[in-house]
Amino acid sequence: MTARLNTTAVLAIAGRDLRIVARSRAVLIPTIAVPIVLLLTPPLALLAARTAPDSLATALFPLLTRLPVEMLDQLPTEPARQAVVLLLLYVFAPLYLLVPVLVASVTAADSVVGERERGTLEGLLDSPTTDRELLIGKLLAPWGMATVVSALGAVAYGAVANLVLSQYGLPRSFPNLEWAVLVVWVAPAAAAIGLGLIVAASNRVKTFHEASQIIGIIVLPIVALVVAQAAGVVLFDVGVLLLFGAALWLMAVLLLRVSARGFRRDRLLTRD
Amino acid sequence: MNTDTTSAVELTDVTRTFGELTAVGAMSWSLRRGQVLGLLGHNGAGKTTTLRLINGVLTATSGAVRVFGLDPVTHGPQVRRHTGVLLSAPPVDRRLTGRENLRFAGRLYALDAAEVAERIDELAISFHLDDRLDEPVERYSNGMRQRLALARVLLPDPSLLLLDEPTASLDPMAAHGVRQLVRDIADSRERTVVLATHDLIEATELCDEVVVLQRGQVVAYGPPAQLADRVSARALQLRISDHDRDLVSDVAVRLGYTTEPVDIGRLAIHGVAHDAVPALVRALVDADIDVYGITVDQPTLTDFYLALHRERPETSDAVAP
Repeated sequence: MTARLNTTAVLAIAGRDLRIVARSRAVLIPTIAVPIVLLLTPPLALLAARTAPDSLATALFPLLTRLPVEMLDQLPTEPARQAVVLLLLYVFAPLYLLVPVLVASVTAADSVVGERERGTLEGLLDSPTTDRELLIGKLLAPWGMATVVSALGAVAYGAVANLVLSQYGLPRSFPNLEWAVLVVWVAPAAAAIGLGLIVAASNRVKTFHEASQIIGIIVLPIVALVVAQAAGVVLFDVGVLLLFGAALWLMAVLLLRVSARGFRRDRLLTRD
Repeated sequence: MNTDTTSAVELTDVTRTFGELTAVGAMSWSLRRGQVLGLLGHNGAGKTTTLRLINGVLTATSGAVRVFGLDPVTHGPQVRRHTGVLLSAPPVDRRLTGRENLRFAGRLYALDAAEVAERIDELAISFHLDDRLDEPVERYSNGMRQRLALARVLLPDPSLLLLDEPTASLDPMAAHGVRQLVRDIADSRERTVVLATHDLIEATELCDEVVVLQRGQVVAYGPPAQLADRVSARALQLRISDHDRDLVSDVAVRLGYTTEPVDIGRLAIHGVAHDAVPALVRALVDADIDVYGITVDQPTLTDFYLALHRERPETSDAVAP
């Protein structure tokens, strides 16, 4: 029988880790800068591109040719405006997923690997918490932080995107159902994937910086998704997003379950 | 958990290996409640591994560990709720204040918040941290950090203290302060203490029992005074008439000892085993030597430890992870 979870200890670990993150520039700066750069720069670039709208349409031609007729019917008729709507609603969506992944990974790297690097891990291991409580406490802070930052990022993105749309004479479209699914269903799963990879990596790396380098592994598939969207290979409608989110959750659960096997006192302490 | 069992800690044939390295091999000893046991040995002798096995953060490869009658691996949280561990490097977070570190410890042990607040104030005063408690720990000196770590350890009022070279990383002044705190805890006999240390004088003063480890093996176990008694006396100093000096030397050499003049009317005889002292005195008296005074330099734990390591020379021990 599984012992009852000591939520006080779990919340204490998560709360302390959040406090530590808030006092660490190495963690806090990327946590703030990443959403700003990733979420606000692309729509703001569209504002600047208003002077050359045809280039946008040309760039997105492959996607336009692959869109289902019913979706094309919902888009404006002018190619440049079609491109703006497609970019804001669909193409930038995978880019958004980088935010939960990066925020979760950086904070988890500090929380899990950084704890050992700072020499405070043994103090935790010597406490009456179970390995399970320790792991959940360690993951709760990064996951919660990634989810909250992602949600705030989505709100900021929506505000800027609405501004861009209005500048192109288009109706304000945010929030919409696709993005709601993305924020509520897909982003938390993406954050969980980031956590799983860091916990898995923590078996092999010694420092926060080494752990941070693992993040590159997670970023590459997401960049591939952005390219795939732009090329019209994948289109993030609600159905695809729900399925994609489910697949991510499944992967995250499997990854965390496998990684959690290595998250035992004995192994944490004897790792070189 | 019943912490009233006679035996607070009991190790029976405990072995822990790390790959090819045997960090602890077939170790057996027990410690009664309220006693202080010293773990002595070079770096890598197995002291830290032993403490980790007692606290259940490491699992024994074979053998049995019992803490207040419980297996610390299967009953880890229960055992750790009653133990406090102080390491040479204090595991306090430098980005938090002293008070935040202590509060965090209180929550980990699920202590009542009001009770914790009160206890923090008491400990801060006891450990001379009260005026700096709300500063980030990164501004603390090493000695203050170790005192904070000790306060953190004592916050949940543990029955068993596991102290792993608590003064190893401190300068002499800070080490003196922490040593005094440890001494107070040990002297009070309110808690059972296992103290891993290099400091043989500290071990002599504080410990009821001493376990000497070499490459993970127990090479000696017993009360410090008893262990010291096993060592030959360092020297016997005799006050004699100067004209008896040659006669004394003859007797001493006949019994296999060496002599050394110390001063006018004083002679030292080296290499006399503790239990051979009476026979030597009888031999001197039988030889009609007038002995005006005799001083036996009492062997110490340090003498025993050095003698033991001369008998069993060891190269630098491999250090367990």
